[in-house]
Amino acid sequence: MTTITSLLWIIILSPIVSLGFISGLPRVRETAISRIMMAGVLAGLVGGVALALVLFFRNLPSLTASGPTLWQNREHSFGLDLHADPSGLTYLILASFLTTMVIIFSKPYLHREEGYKRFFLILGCFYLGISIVVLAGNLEVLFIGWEIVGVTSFFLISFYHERYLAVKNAYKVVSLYRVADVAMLVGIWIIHHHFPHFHFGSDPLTGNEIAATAAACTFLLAALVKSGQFPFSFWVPRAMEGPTTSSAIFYGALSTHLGVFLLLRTEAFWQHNLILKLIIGSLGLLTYFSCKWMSLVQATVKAKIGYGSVAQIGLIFIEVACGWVFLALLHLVLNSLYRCYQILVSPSTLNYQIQNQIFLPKKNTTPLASRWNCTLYVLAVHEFYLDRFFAETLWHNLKILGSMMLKLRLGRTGFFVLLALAIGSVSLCWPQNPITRWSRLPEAMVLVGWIFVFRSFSTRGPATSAWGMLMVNQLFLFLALWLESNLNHFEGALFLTGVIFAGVLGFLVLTHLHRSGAGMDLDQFHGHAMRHPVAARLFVLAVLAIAGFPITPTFLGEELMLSHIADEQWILMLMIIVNLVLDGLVGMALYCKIFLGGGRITRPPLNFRAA
Amino acid sequence: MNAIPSLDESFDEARVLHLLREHLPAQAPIKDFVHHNPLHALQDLDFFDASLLVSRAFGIDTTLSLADYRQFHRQGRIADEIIDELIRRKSPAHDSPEQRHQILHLEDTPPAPPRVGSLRTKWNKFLPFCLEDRIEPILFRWLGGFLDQGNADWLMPPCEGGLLASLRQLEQQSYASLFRTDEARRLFHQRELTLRDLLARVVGRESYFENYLVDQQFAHRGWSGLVSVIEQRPETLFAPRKARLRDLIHFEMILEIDVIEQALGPGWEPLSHRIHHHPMDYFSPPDPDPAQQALQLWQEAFEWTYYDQVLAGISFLRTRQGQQADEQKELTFQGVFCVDDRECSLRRYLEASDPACQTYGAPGFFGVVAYFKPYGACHLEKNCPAPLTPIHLIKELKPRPRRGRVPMHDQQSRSFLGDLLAAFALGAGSGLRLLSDLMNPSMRPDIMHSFSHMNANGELSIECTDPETREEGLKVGFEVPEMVEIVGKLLSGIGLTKNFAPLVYIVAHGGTTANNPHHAAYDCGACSGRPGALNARVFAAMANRTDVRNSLTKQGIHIPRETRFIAAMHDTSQDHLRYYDVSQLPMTSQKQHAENVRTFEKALDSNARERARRFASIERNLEPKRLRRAIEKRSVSYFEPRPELGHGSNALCYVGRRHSIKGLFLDRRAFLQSYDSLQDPEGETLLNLLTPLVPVCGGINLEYYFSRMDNHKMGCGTKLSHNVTGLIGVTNSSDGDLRTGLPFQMIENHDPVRLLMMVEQKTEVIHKQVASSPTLAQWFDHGWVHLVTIDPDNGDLHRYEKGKFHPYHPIAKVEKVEDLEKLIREHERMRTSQIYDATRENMPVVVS
Repeated sequence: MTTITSLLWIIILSPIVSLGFISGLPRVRETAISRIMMAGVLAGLVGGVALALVLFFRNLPSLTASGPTLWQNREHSFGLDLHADPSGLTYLILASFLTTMVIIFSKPYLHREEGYKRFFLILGCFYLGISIVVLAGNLEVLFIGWEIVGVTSFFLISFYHERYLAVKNAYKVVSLYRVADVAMLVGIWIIHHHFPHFHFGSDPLTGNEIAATAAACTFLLAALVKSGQFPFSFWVPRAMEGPTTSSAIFYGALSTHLGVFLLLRTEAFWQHNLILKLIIGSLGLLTYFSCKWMSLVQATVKAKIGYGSVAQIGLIFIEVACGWVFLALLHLVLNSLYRCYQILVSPSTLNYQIQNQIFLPKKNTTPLASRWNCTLYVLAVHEFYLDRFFAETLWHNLKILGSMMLKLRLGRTGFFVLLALAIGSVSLCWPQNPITRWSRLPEAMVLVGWIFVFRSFSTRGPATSAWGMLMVNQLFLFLALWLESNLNHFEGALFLTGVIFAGVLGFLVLTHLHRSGAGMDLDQFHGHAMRHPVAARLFVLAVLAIAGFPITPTFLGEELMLSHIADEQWILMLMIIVNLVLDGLVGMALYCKIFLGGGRITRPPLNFRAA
Repeated sequence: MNAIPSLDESFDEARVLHLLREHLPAQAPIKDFVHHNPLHALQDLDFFDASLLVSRAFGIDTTLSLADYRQFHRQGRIADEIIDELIRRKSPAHDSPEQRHQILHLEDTPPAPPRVGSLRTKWNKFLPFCLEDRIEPILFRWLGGFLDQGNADWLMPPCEGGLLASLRQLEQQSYASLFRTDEARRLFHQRELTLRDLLARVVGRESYFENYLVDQQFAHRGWSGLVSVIEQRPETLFAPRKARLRDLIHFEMILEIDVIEQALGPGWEPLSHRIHHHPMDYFSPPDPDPAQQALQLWQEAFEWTYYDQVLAGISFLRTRQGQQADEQKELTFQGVFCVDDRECSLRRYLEASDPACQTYGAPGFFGVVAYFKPYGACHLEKNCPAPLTPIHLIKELKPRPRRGRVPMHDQQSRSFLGDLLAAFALGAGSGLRLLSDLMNPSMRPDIMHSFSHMNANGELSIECTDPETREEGLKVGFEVPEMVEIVGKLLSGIGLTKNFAPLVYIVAHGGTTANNPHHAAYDCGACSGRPGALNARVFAAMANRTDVRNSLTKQGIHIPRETRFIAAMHDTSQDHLRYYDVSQLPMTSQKQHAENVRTFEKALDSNARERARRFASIERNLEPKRLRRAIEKRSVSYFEPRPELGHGSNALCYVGRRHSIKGLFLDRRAFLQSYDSLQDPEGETLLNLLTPLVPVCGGINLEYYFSRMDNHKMGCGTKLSHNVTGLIGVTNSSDGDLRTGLPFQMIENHDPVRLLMMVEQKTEVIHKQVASSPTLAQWFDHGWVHLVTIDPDNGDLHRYEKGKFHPYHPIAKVEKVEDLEKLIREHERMRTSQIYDATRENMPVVVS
């Protein structure tokens, strides 16, 4: 049995090994890069098939491999466990197959592309993320994979980072993903509190009905975003900015179907709740019809395929809600293959259709039939105002809120750093002081954090000051969490190391750029990544650390400290959620504005931004 | 509405629209992609003045950077002697080494911000968002929906009246509105509203209108350009649309009012009342600066360093050949190829494998100007140079094999059940197909196959039987006198009027590419971006007719009875040759043909090997059969963005006798037009040749030139992220502008140099002929194309500059090589696509 479970580890580790090798290779070694990556993925394919055979012949429901425990305390433990069951293995085999195909396709396709190596690195990370998600033994591990998939999405959408729309849309997608990620964190938080013994494949839960529903809702939100379901569908066609191969595998196939998988993994929370099932099903149906119509009116081929794919995922949601797991999986696999292929050969559609048209006179389609038809057409072209609602209503109002915060005269930011330090050290040296004992102190701290994170969200001034405000927010967030966790030094230190490391790194990078004469104002895109690739990479690292990406100590600290918040404190939790969403967004926005969207092409006034 | 502000300068709508049309990209829907000079509007200016102007006006790079040139200089690809020579040419008094030192050490300065766009962006100061971000996505959606030729499965409800009428109808019928505000809705329905009214509302003062409109339309030059092209040539669309640039502007202005009204509330002030920014003359000539002059010198030095090698080679050959007379030998066959630079090497190999053959070059439509109607087709295809308007129609008379289907591209089912079934059925099919397409690429119905353009066994309506009937307003087939004219003109043009071989091949060309929206750019430029087999076949059939030959004899062109013309087509991607109507030949000719086929195949083997040196996916030392197979697979691979390299690296055009440059290795960089000056002492034929040749070759060359200089703005960037839009173009993004020009994968090996026309004719004759044609003179006088003459008697070279000829003495020494194949085989490949690295792949000029 151990040999079999070690297979699970091999599947996860082989792409990591491949990535390690590739990162040491120069870009011009194209063949080596693609072959090494393919080896890593093929190991997954073979491993996946082998595991599936084992499950089938031994008639096992699932396999589990316990990994090293990262953290354990009285309440809960966090171990790197893996788990393989039929749905996970199906997804794994599908992902390995498609990734192999896309690697073969991409080797000549991306030949001599500036970002050849970058592409394979990102693709490899993406595959790793997917395999972690589908083989995760617990929600924390799943979350790690989920985050990797999200971040790689961002990098592939903005693959041509000198183009304005690519960067803008990458940011749009990643900001929705951020909401999904934070929702998932909340879900994990609820589960820690109420279902500490939950594990995948466990029996349907009994117990706190409300908590189960709340958890299910958070996962549903995450799944809706990831799978581009109503009302988030609008991001899918906008994500098709990278090379055709990456659009095919991400948005035609693997990334968008991941939401279905998340629902299957967390079915214990909604399986017995008829209302939830109805909600899932009706959202699926709503998606199906809205995306179907949007797909029908699209003039660009990738958008048409993207909406078509999402419409089918809507149907898969319905199947999942009905409990037809086998059908859902089959549908998922076939839809992925279909859409992936369609996108890969989408440039051919021009020649194919034109050749057809020479011979078949296209009858001008139905004349204006009814008012409802027209209405539907107009709505579908406007994408049911979904994009407009999110971009103009929600986003715009957040910006306005931020501008209001910017108008507050707070004096120097440094003062608040000192304030934070003062509160921190007072609490450290004299835990029983009257301030610390004030029960609303954490909320107050988060509120101060809010002011700063909103300010940095809306500022159009220099990036360093925005970064500074973000750091102040992190300090206050830390204080809030730390106070809430009853001054747990270890967790606090973990969190704080991450934040300080990220903060200092970010500052160093930005000041270095500033010294070399690079523009830093946030009112335009600068595209410094082209001239300063190392700085760009370091800054990404800093942003990820700030955002609590699961490779950083910040994540673990954040995770652990969040678990101290009791569920009566849902107001605090909500405030922290908003804060977490925003700080990730601001971090990514800083990265986009400073490093992406390349200088010359998007330089105002005639900036060719539409191109 | 606000009162119209003071009329300090009147706005002439027609003039501004004309200005826009001139400067917007003139690229037709992508199925009709034809190369042209992107700066066509400025062709009456000197080349560098025009370049500088667009660079200042639009912020487009029209030269390389100083750093790039310096890198070329370090590599020895810009020679010191040439720089000195150019400096002397410009200012004979100056000390050239010192000036050379100056330009060598000049530093790059950041370019000035472009003029266009400076006014409209001011809006963004007064709005809490970016105006373009709000307007463009929805504007493009409506434009795409309106022009869409069938990508969407539910097309916009059609309307005869054009964009505005269609949208008005939708707005009226629909319960959902196109606009956010009542004001916009109200204005939208006011049919009598003019652009002036709308501009007055948004911009205010009339003196700003022109600037504003230019800013607005050049913010999305791709869409605006396409609309303007369709407006001028509506027949280019299969599904007709009444596109008008005016309508586009009108709609965009209403969208602007809508967005601004929503943000600022009613009663907002127009833009010009809010700013202290003076209207500019965007297209006034900019002041030249030293950096610009240095760049110009660098560019010329780069060009002349290459030209000089070529000219040195030609001089060298002349001294070697001496007064070698045209010896009369028994010819096996003659081949007439397209002037296309890709046919260069095939001709070289043919002559090498059979020294008793002769090759000629002529524009690949072979004088046949016609529309083509495939059997059962409902639309016509134009098979002649784009500027010509045919009055003849060639019909395919027999049914062709059924085209296969690719259900993945077909319309989506609108029913719930059909949709569901499609996903299941096509899903499984796609998986298998993906596997087989990757492991073993093969021909599919959605691959553009050159030989499928015309049915090889189908009969054509070549002879006009009834001159009175018209089909679609065209004469079906040609009458005999017309045939005589076509055949006679072509043959005398290329100097093939005597010594006919038993077989004369008329070789057209086309390309086979998969997953490639730009396929038309790989086909024959002289056939409006289509394969030229049709023209070759029609020509051969005409030349084989006895009545035609009889009339030709009267003109002094005597074609022997035994001589037969055979049409053929060369697939430049696959290196395949297919011959047409061979079964109709007499037996003796068929036998001779069978032998020649072996020669052709041998030449194709070598040609494939030479091409393979640039293909990373193919091992160049494979044995011929496997190499040919690999090349063929490459052309049908969906994953291959470079099935072939098109006209990449084109730089030269030679007009003259083939034997004068035989032995000169030009690395597939020359258009070769045959011309015999001895048969044309007055140069009338020459003028007939040059009149279409210079715009076609010059257009190709300049399209590559500017696409290479600024691939983001003049080209369409990398192919890999292209998204086919409305079957009329490509975008990078579903919210994005149409991209015009050439993709990066076509230009990366291209040295951006202007075309050098080398004409073998007396200086006086050319001078007279060029002066007689103002359009031709414009190309040469303003430096859009260089002209050098080669004296047919003594080989003296003269270069043309601003109406004058100056003697030219090449500086370079050209290398003589024994084993050319080895040289080709061992030449280095590019490692990166940095220009100075990528173009190192282009080989130096040598003689063999």
